[in-house]
Amino acid sequence: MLTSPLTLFRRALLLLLLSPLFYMAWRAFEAIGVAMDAGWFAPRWWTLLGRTLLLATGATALASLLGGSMAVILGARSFRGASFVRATVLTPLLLPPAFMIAVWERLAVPGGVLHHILPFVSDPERPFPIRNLYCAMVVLGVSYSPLLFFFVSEGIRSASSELIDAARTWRGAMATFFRIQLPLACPAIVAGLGITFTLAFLNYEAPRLLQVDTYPVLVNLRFEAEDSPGLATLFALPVFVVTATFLLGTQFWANRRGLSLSGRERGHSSRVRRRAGVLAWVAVGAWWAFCVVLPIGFLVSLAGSIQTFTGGLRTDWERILNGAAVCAGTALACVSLAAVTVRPERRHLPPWLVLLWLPVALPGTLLGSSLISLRGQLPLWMISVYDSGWILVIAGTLRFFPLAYFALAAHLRTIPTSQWRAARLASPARSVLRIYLPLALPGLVLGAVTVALFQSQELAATLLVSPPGYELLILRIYNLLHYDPERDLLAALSLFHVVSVLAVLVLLVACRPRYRA
Amino acid sequence: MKLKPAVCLVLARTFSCHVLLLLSLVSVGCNESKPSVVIYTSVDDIFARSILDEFENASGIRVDALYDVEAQKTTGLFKRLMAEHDSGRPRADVFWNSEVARTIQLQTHGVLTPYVSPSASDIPEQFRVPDRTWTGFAARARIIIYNRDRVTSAEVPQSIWGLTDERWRGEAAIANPLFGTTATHRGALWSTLGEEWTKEYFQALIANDVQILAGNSTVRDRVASGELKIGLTDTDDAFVAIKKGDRVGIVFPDQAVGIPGHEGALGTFVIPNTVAVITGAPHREAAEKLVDYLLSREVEGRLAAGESAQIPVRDGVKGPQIPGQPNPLVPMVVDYGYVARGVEESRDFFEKLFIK
Repeated sequence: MLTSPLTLFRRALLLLLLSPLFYMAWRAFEAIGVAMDAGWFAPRWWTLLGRTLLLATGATALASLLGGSMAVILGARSFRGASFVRATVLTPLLLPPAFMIAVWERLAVPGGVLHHILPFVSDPERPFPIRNLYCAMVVLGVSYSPLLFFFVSEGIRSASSELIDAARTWRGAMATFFRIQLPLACPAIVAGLGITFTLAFLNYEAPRLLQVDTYPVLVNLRFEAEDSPGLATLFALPVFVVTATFLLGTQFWANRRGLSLSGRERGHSSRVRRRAGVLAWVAVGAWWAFCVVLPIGFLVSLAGSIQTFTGGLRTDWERILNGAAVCAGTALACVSLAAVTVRPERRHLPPWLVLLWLPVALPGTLLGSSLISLRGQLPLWMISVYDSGWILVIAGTLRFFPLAYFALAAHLRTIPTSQWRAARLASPARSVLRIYLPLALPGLVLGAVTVALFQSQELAATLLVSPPGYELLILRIYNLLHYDPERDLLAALSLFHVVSVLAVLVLLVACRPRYRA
Repeated sequence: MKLKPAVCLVLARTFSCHVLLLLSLVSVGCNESKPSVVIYTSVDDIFARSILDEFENASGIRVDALYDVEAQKTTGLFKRLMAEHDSGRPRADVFWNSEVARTIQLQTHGVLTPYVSPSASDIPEQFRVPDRTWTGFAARARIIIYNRDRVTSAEVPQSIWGLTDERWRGEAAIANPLFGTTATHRGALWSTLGEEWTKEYFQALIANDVQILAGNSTVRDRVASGELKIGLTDTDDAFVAIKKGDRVGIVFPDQAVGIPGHEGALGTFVIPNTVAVITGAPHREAAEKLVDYLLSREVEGRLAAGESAQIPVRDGVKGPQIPGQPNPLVPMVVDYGYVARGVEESRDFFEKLFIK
């Protein structure tokens, strides 16, 4: 059977996206001899790997507890403004974990809030001890809990309303939840756990700022200290093996079980509508107080005055714009590629496609390192692209494309195949514009928003490939975490970061065409 | 599903928005056609930015700067310069380093090209390399910072060896010796006092639970907040805390007291900034103008008077008013070429000691 040109194009594109991975694998292979001679993989590094596993597991557990509880409380309820409330629960995702540390540092000052809440932990005359594994766990767990909320919530809501109504008629709400909704939500929950664990495992900024030695911190140090990219890659292998195994395993399982996101039936609201109730409002209020008002309020108070904001805007407006443009550009590039590469009529993805998740499991430092090395191999006409802001979009696309791909695939899976068969009757242009795009739109928007969010927080690769004269706000903020002892400008710029990313997300959502059902 | 009749219009609107977004990226990323120069600098951006802006305004040459982050200081830029050099397609024109060791490594690899700047004619030979591939100016000193609320000035050690004293167990800090000026400092000790002394010293620091932090500014912040009592940092970092009004004090170590294994005072280690033109710089003419500007007496004066409180290396430029600075300052006598070699030679040992 002949392979169609479109299929060949899709495969070539997917291979191209994995090319940095192949390049680093080759460099690592070359360095194996040197690594063995140098006595690599010393036993003490396994201790670090164990600590990182503990950190990621603890953070994922905490994120599941917080995000999962919120999803259960809100997901099973229907009330006016529910969508807005759910969206607000996701807002902490706008604040990268490293920013949260600036807030925690202020809470930990002698005689500060943490001393009042936990007076028995340490001497109130001394700063509250936040530089430890448990605090890193809390920071990462809280930061990633909205991610788990999203997946659990989507999973719960993906169950058919009629099915839930029917089940509730015969059994109570609790039995329906545990016997129907939760099993149906399992693929989404597992997919969310996989992504959260991977992010927590790979995060190096937060542990480094909190002085917790983890393996990714070591990978970063090793990259900085080691002149050979191959050795640095080889050294990062244990991290990659853990994250790739966990991520690929969970995504494979979720896809086999028919993971679907944003694919719930719309326009068929349940007859049995549960009110929000006091519990839901208390939970939302507590969530908001802890995850949104507390950090944002602290950042506002740290900024101090309106002059700090105007000063920050005056000096850093270009970086704010650059950051927003790179976020938007990466999101659009990823969803455009996803739209081309995802086959809409496919119900089950072939198992090998799960390998696409590999770039997400790759430490950003290695991606940046491979891109630096690849510059020398590029043809001259591509150098001008490389030397512009586009390299950041390319780096982001290489890393986060799988998010857009699988978000779209998970959405398209919920659409009956009969609709795709019907689409074949129309002309190609008409079927794309009038059938494919309207049907794929929720998946495309979800993919774009997810990629934009992840790109807005990417630091490791961004740091290494940023072109001269093209600075991003996230780098400036990370620098200020070190430079700005007063934290006022840091706070103001962090708030600008939140606002600019929010604006990009709103723009991405608002730009979608609207169709009447 | 029934579509709106105006679906194409809606799609057109969507795509036009996307095109606008992409165009904004291009417009922000692209640069105008005026002459430009690309500089890689590991100098803290809060200190370097105003100087580069001033050059841009005065010369009409646009400066595209690439800064490193505090935590990995110089190393990221060093790797990029090496990769670009190896590929035969350098992107940077000028390298302005806040220290000297990595500059010498670049010199060894042929990444730097000779340039005799007229502005450097009055800079002492100690800070100029014979082949003129780089020139040193505006130095910083490695000093001990202490929290005045937790330590009296009489208690503060007068030598870097003092950090190994039991009384500072768990209460002192240094930046990671694999990077930045702490790496250069370790190279200076290695080349001056010898391998055994340096190994013993750093092992003693670790045995004394001295905290290894991400950067010198982190050392300053943790001491200023009272979390730690003392630390080893740079004058520019410490001066920021003093100007801010933090209750910190400074000691220039090894001015008078001896240390084990060395007769007489060792002197305080002083690290100059270094500036160089890159081999095959795409904008050579502009690069030379920028180097001339950076090596001028005015810039050295500005760096001394500014928040970074850099110590001028030539006579006749007014130095900073750093509290506790001895007059005259006894500097540690070093050959920076040997310092760089010391950094290289000690790398394996320090990686094993500090990557754990």
